[in-house]
Amino acid sequence: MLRENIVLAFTSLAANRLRSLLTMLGIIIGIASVIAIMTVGNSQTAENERQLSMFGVNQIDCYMWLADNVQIDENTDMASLTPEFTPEMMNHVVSTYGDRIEAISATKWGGSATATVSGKDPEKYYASGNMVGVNPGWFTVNAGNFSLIDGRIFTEKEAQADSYTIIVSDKLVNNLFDGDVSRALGSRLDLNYFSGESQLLLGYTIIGVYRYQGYGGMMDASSEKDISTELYVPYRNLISLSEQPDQEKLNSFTVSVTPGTDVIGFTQELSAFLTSELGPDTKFQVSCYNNEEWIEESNNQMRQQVMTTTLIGAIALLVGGIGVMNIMTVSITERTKEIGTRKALGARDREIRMQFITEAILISLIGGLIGIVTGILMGVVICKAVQHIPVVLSVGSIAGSFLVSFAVGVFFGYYPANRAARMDPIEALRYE
Amino acid sequence: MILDEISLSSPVIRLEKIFKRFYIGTENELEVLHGIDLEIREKEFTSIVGESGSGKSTLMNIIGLLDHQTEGSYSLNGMDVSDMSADDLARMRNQEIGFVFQTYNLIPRMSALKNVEIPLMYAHIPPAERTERAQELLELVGMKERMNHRPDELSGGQKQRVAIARAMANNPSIILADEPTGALDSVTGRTVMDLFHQLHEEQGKTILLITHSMPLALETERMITLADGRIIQDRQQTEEEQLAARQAPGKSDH
Repeated sequence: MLRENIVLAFTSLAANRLRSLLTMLGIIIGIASVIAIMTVGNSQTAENERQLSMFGVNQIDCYMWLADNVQIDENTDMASLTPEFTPEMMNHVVSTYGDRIEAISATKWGGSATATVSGKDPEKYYASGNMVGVNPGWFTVNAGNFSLIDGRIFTEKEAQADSYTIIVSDKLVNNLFDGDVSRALGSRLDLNYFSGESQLLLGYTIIGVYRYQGYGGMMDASSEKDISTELYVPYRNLISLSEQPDQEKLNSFTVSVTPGTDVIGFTQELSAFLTSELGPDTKFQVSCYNNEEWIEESNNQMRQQVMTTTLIGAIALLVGGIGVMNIMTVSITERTKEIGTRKALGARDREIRMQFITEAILISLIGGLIGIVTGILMGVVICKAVQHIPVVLSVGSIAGSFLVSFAVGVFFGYYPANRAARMDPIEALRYE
Repeated sequence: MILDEISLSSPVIRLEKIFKRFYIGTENELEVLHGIDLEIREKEFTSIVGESGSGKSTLMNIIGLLDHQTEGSYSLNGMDVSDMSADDLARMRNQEIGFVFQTYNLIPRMSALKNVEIPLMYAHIPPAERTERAQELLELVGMKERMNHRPDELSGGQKQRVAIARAMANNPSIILADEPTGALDSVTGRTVMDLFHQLHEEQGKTILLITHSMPLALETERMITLADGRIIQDRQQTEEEQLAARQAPGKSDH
């Protein structure tokens, strides 16, 4: 019976092609707009997540700075107003939250340096770089965008002030060792380091080589050879070279959390903990941030977009559904005599009802399918041509649209179909 | 089938004291049938003749289970249909009654074959069997060659033949033909009447012809005259009378 109803519905739709298409238009527009915006939104979300995951979504950055209410005048002792996380605070963080912290990264940015090797012409064999002091935890936190080609990172023992070990880029190895990584490892590197006013001549041992990941169009060097790459040295070592070598200054640090940790919740907790560590009379304030907040933010925007879309789609579908109801009413009136005949031939009320509901469902399903295809095409065009991002289809919204158009058919088809089913066969047969 | 269980002598239709009133309980209350008693036996070819307003349409609707009497009892094929549910009545119409309408009432978008299949579909006969049966019936009425044509590609007489095939689809107890030649010219009307005679004589069909044309009614075995909601005449006709009526020229003009 279902098969017959479908065939029947198709023949009656085919008999009024233009009318059927116009009826479907509301549904087509509704579904297409939803699918198009969902496709673009989904692609955008995927792109956002891809970009943010490069920074690491399981990371929390903590900063300390002067509180807003601190007044500064010429009598203020600036040395006492240096915002810093003390080693005691850091140890306290680790002992309190050790189970949720995977690693803590500390970074100190140093000045620039020129590297040479002894026994080679410094005019031809040189490389420029920026000194970066990092602790062993830095490598865990930055695992996403740091890749070691060969060698190793600092051990805890090497992470000390007197440890002159260094991790260099493959670019530097190209410049100074003709690209021979194994020869570079263990070799001595001479650095001409500019720290503030002073110039230091230092000797380091290369323990690791990392892959330099250039930033596309951001090359400011005149040639490949002059690209400045990061020179990673132990955090405490770089501190010892600074103008206040006795202070282990840390005004920001990054934490990577263990898998499964609620990053957003932990961020707030950490922020509150560090604030309480500072005590009530502090001149400083602490703030912690995470990338997940950005993701949340962008997801929130996306959610609002989806809500707007859904509203537009719902209105269009309502209009489309009323169109379906209208056309079914017209169709049923036109076919009054057919309905009477079918009843005389033994159709039960529910069989008549099913026949017309099937027809209504078919109209809206075909409209829905056309809408889905149109919407996907529109979404793909917008993603490719306007936003230049890879297309990620929203499977859920496609399946949802299919169900919604089915439901529109049932809902808006029921009333007219029921009217047909309840027609008095005598009246219906007499209808001209 | 139900037919096998019933003794052959029992009437196909038995109406007892059928009253039909409209607008009951209002000032306009109108009694259309005033206690009709009627029995129609198997294989009878009966006609009900009467002027417009005589109540024959109302009577036909009651016999065809499309309408319900206000009073009285109606047995179809030995089964009392007075208290049947709507679904059971639909099933009875499907199985026991074959309708032939003045305006053919074929479904316009469907081929002749598919039209004949409709009652079989509502009887839940499997598709292959349905098509086979419909083809046989169309062959019987001489429409096999045109079975894939749609109604608008057929002449009036051809449409009525398809409709007659459809009426016989589930081998009903009775064929109810309401002015079947009313929309046809006299020559075509003649061929349709001849088809009814053929079905009656060769297939042993029970046929009830409702008409306002006296000459057509004279062709049948039994003529019941209805006037003003009452049977005023119930007359068996001799074979000579029937034959004479069939051969008289121009009598299907009405």
